[in-house]
Amino acid sequence: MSDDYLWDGSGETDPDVERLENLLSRYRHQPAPLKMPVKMPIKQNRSTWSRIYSPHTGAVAAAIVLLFTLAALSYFLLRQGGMPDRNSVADAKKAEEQTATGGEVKKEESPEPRVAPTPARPDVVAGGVKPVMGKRSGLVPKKMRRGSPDDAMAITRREPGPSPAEGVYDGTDKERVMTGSIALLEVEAARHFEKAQVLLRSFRNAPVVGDGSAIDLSYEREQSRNLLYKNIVLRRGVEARGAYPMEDVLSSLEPILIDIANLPEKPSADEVNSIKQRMQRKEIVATLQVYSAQASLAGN
Amino acid sequence: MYEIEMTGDLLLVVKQTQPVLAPSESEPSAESLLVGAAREGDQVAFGRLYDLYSRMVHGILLARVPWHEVDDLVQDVFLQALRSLHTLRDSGAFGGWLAMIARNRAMDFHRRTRETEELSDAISMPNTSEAEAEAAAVLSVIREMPEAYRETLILRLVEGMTGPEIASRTGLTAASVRVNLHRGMKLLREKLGMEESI
Repeated sequence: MSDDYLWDGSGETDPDVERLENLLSRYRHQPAPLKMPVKMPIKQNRSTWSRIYSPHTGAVAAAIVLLFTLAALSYFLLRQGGMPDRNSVADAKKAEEQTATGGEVKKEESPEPRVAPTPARPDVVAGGVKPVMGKRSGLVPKKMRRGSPDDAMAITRREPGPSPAEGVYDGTDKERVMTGSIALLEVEAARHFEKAQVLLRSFRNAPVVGDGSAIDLSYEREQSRNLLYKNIVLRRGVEARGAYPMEDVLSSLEPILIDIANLPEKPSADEVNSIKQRMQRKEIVATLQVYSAQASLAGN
Repeated sequence: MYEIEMTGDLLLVVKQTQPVLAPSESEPSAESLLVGAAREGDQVAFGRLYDLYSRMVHGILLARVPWHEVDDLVQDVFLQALRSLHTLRDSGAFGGWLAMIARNRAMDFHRRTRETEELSDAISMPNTSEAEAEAAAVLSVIREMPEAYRETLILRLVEGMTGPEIASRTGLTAASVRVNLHRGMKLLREKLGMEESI
């Protein structure tokens, strides 16, 4: 027998195939509307540069620039045999002014002629002045302090401090922000999980009327929309930084938030129950409880 | 098969009775247009892609995970596809790309699920009729078959897709789908003790 019927349903009917089709049709996909997130992701036009650039490459580049600067500084200091300190620079200025105006030099000059001392180490300069590195920078980046909740903004915001225009290298600030961002995300995630827990508990405890009449869940819907947006942002953040367990929890939470956010204004008891069953099946509240505790500990 | 019609600002996808020739290089396929629109944030376009591909994703997942988990995972797969749509370089390869996401999602499901003994669909559904029990038994036999056969057979026998449709959706060649269907059906007949009609 030709297998045309099996191939495209044409030709003579194959009784075995037809019987199996009828038998297995109960498992066929029942078209259901796709639950879309509130905001669609927009195409990201990634240039070649943006493909190459990542927080890691930025940190590596900053470290290379830092090393290069230090090497150049050491070489310069060794060649010069030391650097003039602030006082000698000030004295030189005064001498110049004196020459220009023809006036007298004030008596605050030191009795001995100033000789710039040769530092024992290239990074230690007489008078405690580090002309290039600045006070906040050093060979070893300052350890990232564990973030307070407000520190989350540091992911996108540059910390106030000396700018490159002032001759101070700020690479360590960037490194600090990047290496600390996972800790900050953990803090943010802990807060997010707590809020989500409250919402889901409230939703779970919402009274369901047995006669199938509508329930007012407008507050939960609104909250869910707010949390959904935060969830997407956090998920993208942890995804980019490879924090997969947290991403897993956020990914599990997202469909539930979408379900609640997409509920009609007056949902029926069946619709609410269906979401409650999914929550129960996925044990999402318990998972959130565990992860919010873990994330809080990690953030402290 | 589907073809696309542009009418003013409306984008319509209509079912076609005649098989469509392979689209030329210069002419983007309906799926490519929909993928392009979805990338720009068009929810409707993505909804249409869902309509076109949800049966394929359902079938691929059904070949690997328990039936009662499939609907949730279909949603997960499309959400994942939506998030990663910008990483898809060739819009024309959407079907194969989506199929791969579905297969990976099924693997993740098994990896992340606690180690438990999975009940067969027949046992997990008490008070089932004889037909339901038989259907569950047939499904579990198909699931034990080699991957290439079970996926193609489920798409054909469960989802009701034709061979050309399976080929165009999954990105496989028509010839390999035909071979898989033929050999898979032969193997299934043997396992179920059916005598092949001559």
